[in-house]
Amino acid sequence: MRSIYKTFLIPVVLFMFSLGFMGCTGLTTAEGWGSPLVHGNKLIAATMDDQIVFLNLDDGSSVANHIDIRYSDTEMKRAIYGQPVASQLYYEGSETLSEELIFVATYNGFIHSILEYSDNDYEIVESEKITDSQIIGGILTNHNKIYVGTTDGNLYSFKISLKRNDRGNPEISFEDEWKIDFDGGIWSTPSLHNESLILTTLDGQVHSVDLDGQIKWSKKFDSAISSSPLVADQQVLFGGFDSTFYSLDVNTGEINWTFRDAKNWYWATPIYSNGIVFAPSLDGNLYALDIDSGRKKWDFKTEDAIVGSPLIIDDLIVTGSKDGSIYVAELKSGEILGQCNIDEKIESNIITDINFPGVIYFSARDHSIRALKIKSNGNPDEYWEAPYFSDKLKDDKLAQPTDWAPNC
Amino acid sequence: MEFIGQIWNSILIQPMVNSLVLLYSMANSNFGIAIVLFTIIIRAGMMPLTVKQSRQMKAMSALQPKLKEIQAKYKSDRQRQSQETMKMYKDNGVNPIGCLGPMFIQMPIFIALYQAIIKTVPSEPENLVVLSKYLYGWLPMVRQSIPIESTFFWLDLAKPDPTVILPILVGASMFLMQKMTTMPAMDERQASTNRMMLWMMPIMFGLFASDLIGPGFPSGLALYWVISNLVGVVIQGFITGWDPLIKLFSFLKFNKSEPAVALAGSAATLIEEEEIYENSEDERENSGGSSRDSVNRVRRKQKRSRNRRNKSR
Repeated sequence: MRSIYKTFLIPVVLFMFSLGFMGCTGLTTAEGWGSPLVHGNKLIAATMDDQIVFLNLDDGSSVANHIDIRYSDTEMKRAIYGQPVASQLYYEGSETLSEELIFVATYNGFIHSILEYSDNDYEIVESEKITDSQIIGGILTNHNKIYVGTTDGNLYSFKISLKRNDRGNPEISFEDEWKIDFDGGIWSTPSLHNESLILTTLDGQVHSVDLDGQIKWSKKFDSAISSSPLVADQQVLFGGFDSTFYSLDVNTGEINWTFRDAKNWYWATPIYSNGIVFAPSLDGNLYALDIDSGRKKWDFKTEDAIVGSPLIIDDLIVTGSKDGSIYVAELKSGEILGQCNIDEKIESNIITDINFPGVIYFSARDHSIRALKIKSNGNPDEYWEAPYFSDKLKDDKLAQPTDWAPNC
Repeated sequence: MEFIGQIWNSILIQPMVNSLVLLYSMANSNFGIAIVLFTIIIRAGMMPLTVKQSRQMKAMSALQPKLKEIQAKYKSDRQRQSQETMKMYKDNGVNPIGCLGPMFIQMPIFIALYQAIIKTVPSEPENLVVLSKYLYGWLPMVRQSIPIESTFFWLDLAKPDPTVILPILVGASMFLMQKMTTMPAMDERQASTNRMMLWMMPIMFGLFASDLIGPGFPSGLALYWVISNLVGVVIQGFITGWDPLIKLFSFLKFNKSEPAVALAGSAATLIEEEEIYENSEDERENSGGSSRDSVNRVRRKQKRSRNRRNKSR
């Protein structure tokens, strides 16, 4: 009896010990921080529970059955880091018949295409595995083409064909157009400027590629770049792991100016408005820079890293922070006008419905999707009665809508 | 609690993470080499503790026959038994929990090292963002070295080894380490525990390093275990001698019939050690020498005795 006790007890203790080791590292598995997409009168969002959900913009209720993008419990998680994109595709041989498809890239190398078959009935049309590595950046669509980068350094171009099958249902096929194998992994979403794709790679390069897959120019920097580039005012704008923000000439790749005040990396895609580029950094600051000179106009500090892109609403700028707060600041001065602490890390982009820009939508680390109304004086307030938590999470009783207690 | 976490991070994790990244950039962006160098540096830094722990264990082991004698003598009087035991430890300058002290100091360092390796090679974007907070801003070289290229031979050091090679190496190196550090048992119960630990620990850690019982340790950590064990074996060999390894490998050289002889030899060694120790105890009492002298004398006698036995074979 004693030997059985020892034989089993010691391995169990060792195993528990190892689990304790794993637990106390503070690390997480890939869960994603996918940003939602406003599509018509619905919010399409990827949850951190491998689901794509379709929510009512006004109250956060589910308006269609969610799509489970994990086929079995034994599969690796299909975290989503990019934003779903909507694209109008015409049926082969037709110039009038079309469908609007939603494309979502998942961490495990799939691109899913989703179609609203009938009102509030969304289904996956096709799931295409394009790589054995991962997809962390988002998808860029242009007419019937898809461009996506993968962590093994490949930039893919696919031609998407839409046709009807024998039963009359829509069917999609992915046709390889070209692939470029870069030295560094691609964690960013390519940007489209005229007939060029601009992308960054983890080996510290920025590339301009034409739509036929020919590299126009490449520029090498000292450190990795994960930030997706913004193209504005004939400039390529991005920040790197050397804590420097860069402006390059979009046609040649030559450096226009640099900004070196940040104390940590740049991760999120910057945004631009009226001659000012807004650059969020992992040092917790949002920097407002003059686009012509790179001179700092103002900055404001949050208590933790800013991982997602901010949003401009009229004369206000809104950003989320890993410190668990949404900050609303005046666009001209950077003065913080309002703050709402939801007590959960915010890493997604902040988005809005362009038809009703007073409301912002974002996801949080507690696997919730949330909406806040930004009043004209800059004060944020709850818009939905409760955040959206996936059914899976409710079943697991890990979090409940009653957890909604923001300090707005 | 948060405060303790911050102290833990600033005193242990941050310096370790930055050192690892610095070594990585100095080792031509080879994280495998960086882990090997880092493990050797850490083990070298902890050498005084390791030596102290090993000496305490050796001294404790040398006192086992005497302890057994006291247990037999005061079988019916627990209190007296305890008093005599403590007296014996005191007389010999041995602290019965002295060998635990260095171990307790080493444990947080090993846990921190584990965390540092895991944090330095994140494979998920979430964890890369977390890593940025651990890097020193005043060391631009460190910031610019990220992300770490985690390929080392066939391994992705951020993920478990897809083959069984590294898990086997973890198990084998841990077996050698166990073999070197396990002291001779003085009763059947202890011998049984020793035997079980000798096999169970390597098997368990080998399994943890593989994908067989769920997601295994990242191979960077498994590499650390292998190097750490090998360095530990070498240190232990210099402190307490290479006999366990010599015995192990000479055992492998023997014919099928010979293990019995070897085993008998091992048993004989134990009995012999016991006798030698008793003699040395008498000698110490007569001469009034210190415990360290006594232990050293025991070591010398054991060596002479082994030499005699080898010659007679």
